Amino acid sequence: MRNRQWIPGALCAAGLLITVVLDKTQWLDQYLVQILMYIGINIILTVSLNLVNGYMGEFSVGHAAFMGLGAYASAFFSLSILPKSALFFPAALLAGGVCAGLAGFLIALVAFKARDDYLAIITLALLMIVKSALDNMPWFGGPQGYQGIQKYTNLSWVFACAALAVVTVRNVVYSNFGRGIIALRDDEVAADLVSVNTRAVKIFAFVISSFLAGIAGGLFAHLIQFINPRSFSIGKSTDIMLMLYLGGSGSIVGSMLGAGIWTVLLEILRFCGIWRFVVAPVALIVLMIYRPSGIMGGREWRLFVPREGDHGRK
Amino acid sequence: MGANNKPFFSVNNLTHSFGGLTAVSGFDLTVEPESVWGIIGPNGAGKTTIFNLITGVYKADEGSVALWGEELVGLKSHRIVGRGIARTFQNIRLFKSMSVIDNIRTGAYGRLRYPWYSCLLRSGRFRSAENQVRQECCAILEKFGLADRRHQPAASLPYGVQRKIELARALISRPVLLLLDEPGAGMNPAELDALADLVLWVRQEFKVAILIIEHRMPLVMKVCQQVRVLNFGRTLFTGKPGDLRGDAAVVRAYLG
Repeated sequence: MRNRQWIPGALCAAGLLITVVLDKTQWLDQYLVQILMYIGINIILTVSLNLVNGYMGEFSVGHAAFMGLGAYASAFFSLSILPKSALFFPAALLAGGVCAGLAGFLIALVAFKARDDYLAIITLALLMIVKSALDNMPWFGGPQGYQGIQKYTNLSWVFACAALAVVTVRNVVYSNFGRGIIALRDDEVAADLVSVNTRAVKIFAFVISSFLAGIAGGLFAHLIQFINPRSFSIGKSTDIMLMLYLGGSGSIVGSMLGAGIWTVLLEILRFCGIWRFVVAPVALIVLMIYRPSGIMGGREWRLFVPREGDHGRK
Repeated sequence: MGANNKPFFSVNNLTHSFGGLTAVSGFDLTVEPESVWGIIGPNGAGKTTIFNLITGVYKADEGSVALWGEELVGLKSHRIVGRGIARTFQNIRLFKSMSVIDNIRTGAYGRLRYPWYSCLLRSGRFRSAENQVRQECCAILEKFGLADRRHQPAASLPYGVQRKIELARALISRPVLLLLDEPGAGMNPAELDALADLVLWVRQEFKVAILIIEHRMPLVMKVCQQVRVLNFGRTLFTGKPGDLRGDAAVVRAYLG
């Protein structure tokens, strides 16, 4: 087969060009653009959770907390520290990502002393800590929420960040670290005994994952311009997990499909009013019964597997 | 003998108990480079525990394990592999969702050193390091005659092949001492014979010393230069495999 390595890069470039044009000309209906942006943000969240809950086989339920930390941190930076200009938006996003990543690092140090159910409980505790901390910080608006954030997020920023998140996760998965991550999912003791530094690998994966969630949070904050602690509760974490398992954990394409389908489904079902929160989960239950491994079932599109001489032919 | 007259591999007074049960007590062993030792004994004699103590799965209550005079007790498992001790498992423990070559590449994890950001950026350093390891893995698969199976899922392969993959995964870390935990379990006499040849070939090809835990006497007789018999964590016999049958204590405890 011929070398198709140029395709992902070309897709990214084309996508970025299209989204920049769409932002400038506003050809698309603004409601549609809004949904596309939600999909992009959800892709970042799902793909990053996939690293921990999918490839590494852990069960973190605290992803919304990192998103929230990223949202508040980047909003704080763009409102109070950085000059008020869209030029500094990337810096604000980065600040959100770094804060979430740091929090992820601290949590990982503690949380990975435990596994499975215990990790779930620790990350659940984190979720509650973050929410009640934000509720009780008056300078961030407390329960009323953080207001006055500029609308810097547009389609091209979302696209660029989502593409970067996907590439990042792909590059981690198809590397030495990625093999370590998958090895410790399959058999942690054996991984350790064939020279994988399992503790370092877990921390690395968790930090990357929370950093990306923080970026998604920053995009979210500068999109809806108003954030409050309730946006980052267990409900949000559940949403991200739904998208992950819907698409199929352990697959990057699966995460993207899951995020896209779930976001669109919730919009389509909007006419059902409050009932959409019944219809959608029922749809999910049906899927879990008939296809528990998700849409992709751990498989990957060829396009997302980096060629390294050995993934293709001899 | 090593550079400064330190023994190649020595275990002194290794002792470990689980709760009140002493699994290994006062175990001593000195291994010469590129020699093959057999460790045999009835079930529950503490054989696998000794492997787990050497490789850092458990931390010894007492005693020392040293490679070229450097203490290993207290090191994490992955560091011990880095020092040159690799092992296989009694019940094969391959990474089930990985292909053959990825299983083996994971064995080179500790040797593959590049900073985390070069994996994100796919830098030249990342690519040259990954390429080199991939070539080494292909070479080792070639030696084991598994080259054309390298993209197959490891879990789908027959038992004997999985044993070989596990062996290759251990060898890719460039060990000087290889621990094999019952490699002959579940094999018929013909397969056992082939395994004996394989073990001897591995010793010669990869210049490793080998410690084998084994129940199957034909294998022990064929490959081991020295044999240690354990019972209830204590040493019953040390010597050449040929002298085993002449030892009254061994016959009583083990051979019946």
